[in-house]
Amino acid sequence: MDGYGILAISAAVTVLFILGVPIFLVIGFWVVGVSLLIDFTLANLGVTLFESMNFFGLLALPLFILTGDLIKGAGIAKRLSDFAYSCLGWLRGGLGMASLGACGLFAAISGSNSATTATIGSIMHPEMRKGGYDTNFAAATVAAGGTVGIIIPPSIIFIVYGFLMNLSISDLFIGGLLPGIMMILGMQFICWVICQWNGWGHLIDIRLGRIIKTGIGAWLGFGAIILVIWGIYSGKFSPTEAAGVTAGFCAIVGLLFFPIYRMIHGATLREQGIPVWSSKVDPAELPSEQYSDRMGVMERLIIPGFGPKELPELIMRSGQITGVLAPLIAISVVMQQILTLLGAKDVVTQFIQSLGGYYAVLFACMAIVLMAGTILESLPNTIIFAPILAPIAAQTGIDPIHFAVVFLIGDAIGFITPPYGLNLYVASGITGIPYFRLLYYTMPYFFALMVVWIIVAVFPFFSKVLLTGIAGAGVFQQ
Amino acid sequence: MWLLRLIDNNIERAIILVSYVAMAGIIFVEVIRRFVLNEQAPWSTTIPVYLFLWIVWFGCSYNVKIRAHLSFDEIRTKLPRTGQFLCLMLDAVLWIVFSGIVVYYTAQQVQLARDNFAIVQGTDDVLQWWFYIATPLAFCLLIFRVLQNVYADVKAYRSGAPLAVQVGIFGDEGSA
Repeated sequence: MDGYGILAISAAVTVLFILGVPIFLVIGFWVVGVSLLIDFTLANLGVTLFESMNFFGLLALPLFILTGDLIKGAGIAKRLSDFAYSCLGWLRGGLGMASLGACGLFAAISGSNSATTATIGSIMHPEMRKGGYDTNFAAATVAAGGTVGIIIPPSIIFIVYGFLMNLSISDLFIGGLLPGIMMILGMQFICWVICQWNGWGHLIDIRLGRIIKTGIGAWLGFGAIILVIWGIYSGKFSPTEAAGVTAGFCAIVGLLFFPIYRMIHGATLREQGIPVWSSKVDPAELPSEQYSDRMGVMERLIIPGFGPKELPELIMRSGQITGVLAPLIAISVVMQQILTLLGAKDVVTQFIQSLGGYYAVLFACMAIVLMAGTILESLPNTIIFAPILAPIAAQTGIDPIHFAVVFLIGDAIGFITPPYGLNLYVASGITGIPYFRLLYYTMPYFFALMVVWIIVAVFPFFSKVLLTGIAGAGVFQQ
Repeated sequence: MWLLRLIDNNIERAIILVSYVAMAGIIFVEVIRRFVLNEQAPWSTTIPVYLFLWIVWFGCSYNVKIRAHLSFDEIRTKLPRTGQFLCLMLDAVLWIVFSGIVVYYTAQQVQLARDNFAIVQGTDDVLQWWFYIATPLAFCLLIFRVLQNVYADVKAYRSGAPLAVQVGIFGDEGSA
């Protein structure tokens, strides 16, 4: 009897979703409806809204979001993009490939897919259009490039996954590093093929001096990346502490350099009609430094930074994103509890185990994640399905860290799959290109990601090698 | 009147900024202290977690105010005007009902923590309910924000101004 009731409630909330009701409420009403139906106390909702947040590891989420915003606010996202272009500009489609590379670099500082797309997209999409690329293709490139945001560490979804499944967040971060780089390389290859075909982009010659100079210009970005990876890899910090230290470091450096940059570049800024001391200037609008070889190393060390008036704005932006994501985590945890109570786990376990061996289970789980990811936002997808699927995978002998990486790449691909693909929305928002047209142009990248995903899934080597060394990784684990 | 407007414009902002800076600051300073002086306050891993509650739920209310909660808006934006208006009213009713439920049950938890004199781990006299109360308070504010939105929507619907059906996921990012 309850079965039909639950189906009816699920159907009703799906209608709410289609009508555009916020996802937080869609899940919230499923929880309230099913709780009332099966006579489960709603007091649990009150408890879980506190307890699901009561975990020190979860604080890495707001802190890595903040680090990303500070890096962007200090003008470093632009400099990372310049660096990527000076490395890849000699290839056909170099600017497109540089956009993907910049996504990878920014992902190594920030923890979120949509923030990566928004940040790199707002810098690189205009550049690509100026460089003679098709505007639709350019937007699709940053939408797809953003998917590595949650795979290349630090990643907010790895944090949530580790929190739920009681796995070491540091291990997960290290496991995601190589697959994330492979995703970037796979997409860059597709980008190169498409640009070669269409003859997009003009070539600049490769110069070691320029690569080094632009690299030095982005020192704060690399500093943040090294601080996080060193701290976590050596065990000096927990991920939360690494996030706190990096955020604090970026805030101090950003504030310190603000007056220095304005003093040195005051004349140039005035020439270009940019108010020198205003903190309202978007770092992306500052004079382009990328090809100016006359700029010395010392000058490049000076980063634009942010003024004391801008810092609260940057923190508020992080607060806003946290205010979107964290409530979704809390309410999804309640939904997961109720699903467990309903015995959903047993039903799915029976179904998947009836399929047979290692690869059947692995691919069945991948199919479920991918399909769920088309509709669900990534956090609810992880919170609802990871506790169901991961134990099944573990019973079949799939390594938990490997499974986590495979699961989350599937989740990341969900950011560019319709009907609900958040990166497509973000890219559509910053470029003004309609959602469905963008979808069409993202398809080649989607296939590239699928290929990388399957390779990573079949060979646990890639997710395990950095953790255990070549000997311990074992190419086939069957 | 100007005071009310100041509070109306800045209440979530003030709470989020203070909590965020305190949370990040405590973690930053305590890690540095551990490295340099080899000591760390016992509450440095608990107080920030509780401060996070204030950020999350007031952030939730702030996103209602600026209409930035994630949703699937492809169909809604293509509906006729009256349909859009009805969807906005549906959102409002759902928010108010859900917030009512949350306020009722989380207030119980706050009361419980208060009656038990539950103390934040690692401290002697910091009471948990000072932080727990963030959730019911934020959802009360959220209901108020929903009512403000309803007022704006009804006014826009009557005057023929465009309705706010499109979500702005990253606030001002669209103009960049």
